[in-house]
Amino acid sequence: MKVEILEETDNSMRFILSEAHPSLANALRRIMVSEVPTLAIEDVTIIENTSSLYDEIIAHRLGLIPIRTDLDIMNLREECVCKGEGCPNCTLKLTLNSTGKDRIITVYSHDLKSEDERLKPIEGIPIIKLGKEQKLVLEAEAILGKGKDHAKWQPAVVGYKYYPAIEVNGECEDCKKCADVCPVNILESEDGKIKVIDEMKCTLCKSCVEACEKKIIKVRGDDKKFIFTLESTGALKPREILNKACEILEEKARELATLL
Amino acid sequence: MSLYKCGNCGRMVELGADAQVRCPFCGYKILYKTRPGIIKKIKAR
Repeated sequence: MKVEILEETDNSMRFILSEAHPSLANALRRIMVSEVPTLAIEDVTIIENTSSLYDEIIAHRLGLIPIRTDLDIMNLREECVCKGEGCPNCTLKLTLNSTGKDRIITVYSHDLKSEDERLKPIEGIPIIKLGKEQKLVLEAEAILGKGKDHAKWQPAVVGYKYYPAIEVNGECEDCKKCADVCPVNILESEDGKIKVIDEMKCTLCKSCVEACEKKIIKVRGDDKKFIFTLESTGALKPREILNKACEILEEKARELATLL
Repeated sequence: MSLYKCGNCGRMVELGADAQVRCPFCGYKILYKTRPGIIKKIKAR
């Protein structure tokens, strides 16, 4: 199994997984989506709410805010030393206190005050608008959880496709039909030769295969090589998600080996 | 005892269970019940 990173930003990444198998690629994808833990608000204590939204709707909105997570300093509640009672090692407390002014104000996710400087909500997500004399005071508890319990704990959206393999065998008539029909314009036909400009862009739609009258083009997906696209919510860096997913997969394999 | 807001003068009125529904300041008969100061716990799901 080999990983080659194509591009990487603060919250997205594209990489090639090679010398792998479809089952491994899908296992990795599923673990990244549903087993890598992140922080999300789980319990909300509403002290005062004279806003236009119901408590439940505010709580639901709070739950979906991604919180920058450091997996080295937080434990899953069920694996914590406090045995699920809730302690600073597994629970992050946040507070919010906002009052509407003369003009309407918007309360954002960064108005939530976290007790730990390292674990803060992602900035710039609107929670609610408050008008004159409207007030919202609440406390929230964020815990680590997994995407399989609730989508709010999902650290990323991950997808993959087979690496395209385009083969040209035989004499080309230079009809240019394949180049015309390609939706991503990666084929070029010149002096009886078909050139593939950027095979990674190919969507495996096989329009060129159908268009070619001499049937000399073959398009297939390489089932040992995959192009992954990963977009993080901001809770964890893409690289952290990939590393953690690999750790979890290894741990699962080890657990299976002891059971056999 | 619970707290009400007068529909006319807007002042807060505290009324007992057997009290007459009437604002003691302006005599208005429409009172709005305010949210009790009970702390509410909810799951963010």
